[in-house]
Amino acid sequence: MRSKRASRLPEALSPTGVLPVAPFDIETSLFQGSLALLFASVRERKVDIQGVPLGPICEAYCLYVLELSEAELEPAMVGLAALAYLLERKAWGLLPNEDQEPLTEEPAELPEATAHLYADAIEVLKTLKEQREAKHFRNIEAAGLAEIPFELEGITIDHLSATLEDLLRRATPEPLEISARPRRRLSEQMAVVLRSLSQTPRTLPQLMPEPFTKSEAVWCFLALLELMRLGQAVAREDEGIVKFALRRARVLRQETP
Amino acid sequence: MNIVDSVHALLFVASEPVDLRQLAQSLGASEGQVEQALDVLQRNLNREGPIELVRIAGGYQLCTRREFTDLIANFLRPQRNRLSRSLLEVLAIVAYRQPITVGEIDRIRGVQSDYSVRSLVDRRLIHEVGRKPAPGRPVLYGTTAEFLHQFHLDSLEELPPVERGGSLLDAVLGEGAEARLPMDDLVS
Repeated sequence: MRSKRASRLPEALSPTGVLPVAPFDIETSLFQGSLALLFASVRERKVDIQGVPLGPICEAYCLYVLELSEAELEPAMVGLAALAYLLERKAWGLLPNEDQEPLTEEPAELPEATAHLYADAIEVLKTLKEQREAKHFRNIEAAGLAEIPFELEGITIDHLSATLEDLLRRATPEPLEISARPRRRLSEQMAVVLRSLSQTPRTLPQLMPEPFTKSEAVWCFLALLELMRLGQAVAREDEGIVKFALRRARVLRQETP
Repeated sequence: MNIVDSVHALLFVASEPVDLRQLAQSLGASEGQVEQALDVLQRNLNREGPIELVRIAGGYQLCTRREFTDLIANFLRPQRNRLSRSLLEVLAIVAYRQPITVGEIDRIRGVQSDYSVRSLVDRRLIHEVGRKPAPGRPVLYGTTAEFLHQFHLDSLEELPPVERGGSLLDAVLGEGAEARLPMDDLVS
């Protein structure tokens, strides 16, 4: 009984020790809770850190540090230590297999994969789906997975997505910079794209000379979509390649009496 | 205006399965009366015409008969959303083990499944059904009504048991027999 009391942690003790951890609430599909709980859960291997994006947490921490008061230095320090631990654990997990993570704690035994038990279930689902596709229901098939609320005039969403994928493949990596900088406005990007459009249809790479980053590519694509929605730009398919042009202004003829 | 025609009209304009309660409310009739009307309608439709009445995703819906598949596909040219092997594997695991977390799916498969889960959520085949009361409160996933519709199931109880000995496919389709769905017995 005495030993039980002795080994029990004081109630004020946080998962990282006697000091409180920087107050962050994390919400992802794999984990919901405080930074302290994430730290403790990862250390005890109850949560797979590979599924938890650390980038946004680090960003939030940087903003927290920028607005820090002196009284909060200790939680900030413990938060940094917890984040460093999480980053290290994640980094080890991303390394090739020959660099094994040094084991400071007892490793949890990995359960054996049992996906093969579902092989028959997969075949059943396949068969059910094939047979279901033999029947047609009112409007159900018409509701596509992705919808664009304006007319695409002969090109499909698949064409557009293939064009964006091609553009993203050409993009260079994003430069490292502080992410707290002011966001760009879509209207500014639309003005840039509008200036590069002409009556002659041009492909996306022609509209966006390299080098450009992925986010610039996405911004350009979004601006084009918005211009198409507003009826100022038009997309056409030419031998499997999507080209963009300025929409010709429609002149309304006045009827002469 | 008899109740059979009224049910037929409502099902004709419905773009998704309609359950007994909805039909009864709209018609101002009891669920028993609507059920009888559905029986009569089904018999009428079975006698002639290209349309049939099916029970699907917890409701009733009209659809075209299988013989017209190619004709309608040529006319509508619907986009087929094929599911890859890994997506089907994750979907099967969620369907049979729901509610389930991504971590549990990972352990069953032995590989990370977050991309497949996201993709199935995008396709509206699975969705969040809650949080598990465990460290980190991870999201629990389950199948959607769209899943039932896409796989021609009336409810999850129609999924064949995965523990059954022998081939599960044979259990569903019958060895050497013409491919039949569990639903076929209910609607024929």
